[in-house]
Amino acid sequence: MAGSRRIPRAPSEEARQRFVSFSVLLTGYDSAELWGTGMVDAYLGFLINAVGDQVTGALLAKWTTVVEAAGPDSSALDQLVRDEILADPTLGPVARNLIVMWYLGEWQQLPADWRELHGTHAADQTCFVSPEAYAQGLVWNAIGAHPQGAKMPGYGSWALPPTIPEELP
Amino acid sequence: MPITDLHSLQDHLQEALEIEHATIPPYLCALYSIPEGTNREAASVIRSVVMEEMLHMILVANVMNAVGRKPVLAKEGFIKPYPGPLPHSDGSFVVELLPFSEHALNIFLKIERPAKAGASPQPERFHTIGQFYEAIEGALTRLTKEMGPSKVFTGREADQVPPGRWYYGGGGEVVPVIDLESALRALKEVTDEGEGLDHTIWDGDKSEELAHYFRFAELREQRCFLPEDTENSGPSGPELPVDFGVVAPMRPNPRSDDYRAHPAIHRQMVKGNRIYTRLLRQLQTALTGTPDALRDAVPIMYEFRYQAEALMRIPSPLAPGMTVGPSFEFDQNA
Amino acid sequence: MPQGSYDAIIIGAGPVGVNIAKVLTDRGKRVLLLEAGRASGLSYDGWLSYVDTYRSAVMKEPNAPYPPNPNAPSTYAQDVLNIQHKIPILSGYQVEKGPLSFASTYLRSLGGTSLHWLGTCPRMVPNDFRLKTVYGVGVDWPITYDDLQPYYCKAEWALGVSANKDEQGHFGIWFPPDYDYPMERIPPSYSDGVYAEGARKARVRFGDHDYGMTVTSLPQARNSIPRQNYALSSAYGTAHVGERCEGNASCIPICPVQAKYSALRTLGQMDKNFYTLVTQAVASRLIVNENGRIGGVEYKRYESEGSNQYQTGTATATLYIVAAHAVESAKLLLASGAANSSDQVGRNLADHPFFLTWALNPTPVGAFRGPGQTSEIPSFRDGPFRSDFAAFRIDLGNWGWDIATFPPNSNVYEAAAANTFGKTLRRSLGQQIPRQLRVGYVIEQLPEPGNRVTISAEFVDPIGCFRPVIHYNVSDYTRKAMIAANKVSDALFHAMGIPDADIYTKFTPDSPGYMTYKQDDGTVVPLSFFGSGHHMGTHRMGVSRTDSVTNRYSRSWDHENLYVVGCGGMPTTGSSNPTLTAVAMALMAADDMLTQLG
Repeated sequence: MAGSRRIPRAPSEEARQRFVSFSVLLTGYDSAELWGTGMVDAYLGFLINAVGDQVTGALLAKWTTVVEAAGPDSSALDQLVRDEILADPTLGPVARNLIVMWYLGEWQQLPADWRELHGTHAADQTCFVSPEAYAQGLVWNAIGAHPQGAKMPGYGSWALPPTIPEELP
Repeated sequence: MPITDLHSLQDHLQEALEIEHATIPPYLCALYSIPEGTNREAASVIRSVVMEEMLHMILVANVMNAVGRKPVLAKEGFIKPYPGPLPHSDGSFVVELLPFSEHALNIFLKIERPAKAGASPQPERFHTIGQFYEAIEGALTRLTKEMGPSKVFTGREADQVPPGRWYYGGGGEVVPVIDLESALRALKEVTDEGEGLDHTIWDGDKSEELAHYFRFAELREQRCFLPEDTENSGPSGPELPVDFGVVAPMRPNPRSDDYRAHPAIHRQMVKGNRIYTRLLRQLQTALTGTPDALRDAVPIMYEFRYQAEALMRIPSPLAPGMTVGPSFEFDQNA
Repeated sequence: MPQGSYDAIIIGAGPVGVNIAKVLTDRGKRVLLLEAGRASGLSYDGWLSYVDTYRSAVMKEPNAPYPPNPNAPSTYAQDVLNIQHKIPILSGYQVEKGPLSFASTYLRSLGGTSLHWLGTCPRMVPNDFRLKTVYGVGVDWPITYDDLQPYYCKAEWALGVSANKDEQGHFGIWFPPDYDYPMERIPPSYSDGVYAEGARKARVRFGDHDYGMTVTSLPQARNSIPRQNYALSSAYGTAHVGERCEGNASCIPICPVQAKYSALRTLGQMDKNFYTLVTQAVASRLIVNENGRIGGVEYKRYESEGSNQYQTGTATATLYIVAAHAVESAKLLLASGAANSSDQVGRNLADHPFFLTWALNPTPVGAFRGPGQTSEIPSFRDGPFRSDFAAFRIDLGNWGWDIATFPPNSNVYEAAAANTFGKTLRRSLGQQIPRQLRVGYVIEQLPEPGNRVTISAEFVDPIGCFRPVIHYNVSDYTRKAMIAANKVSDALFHAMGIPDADIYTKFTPDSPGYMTYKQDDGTVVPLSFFGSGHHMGTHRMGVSRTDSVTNRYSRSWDHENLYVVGCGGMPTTGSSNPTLTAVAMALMAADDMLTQLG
């Protein structure tokens, strides 16, 4: 599958940290949980291959800007993300793709008009980043289940009452 | 001091339970540090040993219940601290929580090492686990002769974990214990699987599987044993390549207290410890009169595995280039 | 290339073919097994590569783990489309002439459809075998439940079925007093218990009768706790994997640990000294001698899936057994001009149209856990209504809304498109999806001569074999059952405390299998159905050579050394998933084969 055997260009430590902190906000999972998936470098690498260094850099720079602007006010941060990133014609589709990538392990090919404007990259195909990425999709944790065909929970587990993992502070 | 009375025998069986369990966290750390899909042979070997260690715990618990003592697992002190010697051993080596590596394999070989021919039974400060069990087996036989079987084997049959039902996915089989013969058979299965049957490299199982020591030797030498090989000849069969480079670089012997300054990480460590504690509680319920409770222990084991694997991937702020890993600590609040 | 002569040549290494091979080889007969597809799953590492293919598949459907093979093509779900404006669909392997698309797919590979099946193994009920006599519809089988019963027992042990027999006595199903299933039932899911609470109170009326509902465990070929004397089998080619169902929840399309039965397991139990397996060998023609006996089978053996080059060979045996799957077997007979004096070959093609309803429970039920179904409501497998509309079996799904809306992916796509992010997103997914309920109605379809598989020189595959050309429709008998099923569904959901606002069943012209039914009062009811993955009826057995292809032993009326075995032999289908019945029929046929071989 596209993306699964590509060796990501090594991003800078700063880019990694920004990517993780942005992903924390987008996903509602904390940094330890995201690192625990083992997918941080794989997703950042895929992103760079799929949209290029410039757009990736612009996205992470914009994220840094809104974080500074919002300060400690988390609802201000949410609003700034909406207005400055999700509503932005260039950054919005990419940010939405990150949500899907973290939650499912799947990259969605960007909309045709985005591709026309920003150029197409070969890696920008609808695909799972890798079989491991499928297994690490956050959605399964969010619904108290496990990815079908991976992380098997054991005989009789389906007879037990369902639990939703408790929320974090 | 030899074991002279029933109470002391029961104490030593509880100690056997703790010794068998003490091998499990180190084996699991090695296993869970191997990313899925890599080193399939090595992972399969370690997993097979872990399954049999769990079987050993069940076998020991069956003997305990048969001689009138309830196993205790869910208490502070059941999980031994790492690094540390095997409980009740002579301390001649230290066991650690490590990722899969040659160093880890060397420790595993020491854990499983067979006793030398003619080695004496050792109820305290044992040199090999096999010598510890010999002391227990001797005491069981003596006490049954002295006191009579009805005074020794006072347990309820319903407390016995039955064969063919709850233990699966590994070699060996559960032995329900009702008398001296079955008790000795249960304990022999434990020692044969660990160190080998009668100084051969095989565990005496119908399927002729290698004893644990020799399975680890294969990984250490990166070569398979052939049927004609012996302890002295070493493995002379095909290569068994191992790639240590892909293993998660877990920081040795993690403790959750190490990460108090890192709340998100600390939360994950506590989560892992609580799952492990719940597992011990479920096992204790099963092994103290409700064998069917073993069914619901399996999902907890899987839950722990995925949490441990996640911990193996989190970079450790305390050791650049290394990861956090599970700490296997008993948590009263679980 | 296989050498020498054989006692039997079996075409098709799926559950039917391989189980026949086992019976014959156990008695020292020499068997040649020809399989059109690849040698899938003979190594556990190979199996795991299919699991990876599945995990990476953007569209997860029954054949997703098994890469396309141009020389032995199979249909993929993506190719099954609604027929618009009567224009046939040519995009996939099977040609859909309509008026409706045949909605089910199958797999041509070693192990066949048993690689991707769910594993559901209910017996048929006694009245299923005598629809004509009891209800005046369809046809009667040439055998009764009692005739097939001992073979059901053998099939349940051959496939390794887990069930408790004291729960399975529906509508006259009986077991010998000293018989038990090899393994204890798979534990019912938590959500089964939620359904049961409601089912207890639910009532529905059809005609003059009131019907209640019960929830019972579904027999399934899935490893569970073994009973005495059953040595359970685990994954092929490795040790100690799959000794219990591990809750992977991906039964369709692949069980990563092989706790679910596939024909590989039976293959692994066979004595290699007595059989030759040749894969990548497509049987293309049966050679019919002047005396009416089959004189050989011509097959095309392709070296590589990447090239359509092949060698033609001929193999001969005393007996020929076509067990290539209902559609493929019919195709082979038609291509050979064999076994068809009745003109029934390829006709009476039937599926179990799979009708879905879906809703949200007030509280979480733990969707996406466990096997696809662990329990059913058997209450409509039989009944007086069958003179009016079809019987159905009710599958209680464990995988949320499943193929109705493709959660959780669809939920994530929608949320992201709506700019939902962070804890709001995480919470909202956790609030809805665990409450998802999906009920599936497995509905009987009567034999219709116009529902058929045909062949045409216009449609051939890369190595020159015919593609199946399918003509298919769903009659009012079945459409009325869907309306009844919807009524049952409402009664059930309401009894579970689910208001109409939380019932999400909705059919639009874009829904799969979209069709309508005009009721007596003139209202037009929209309907939709999926395929159950069942293909039946295409070489049915019967009492007379004038209207059936084989006798009760699946032996061709026209060629005494030819057997045509499988789900295609079923004259009617009941509402039970057919593999168990097909294997029972196969074991019955195998006894006749042994008699013939002497």
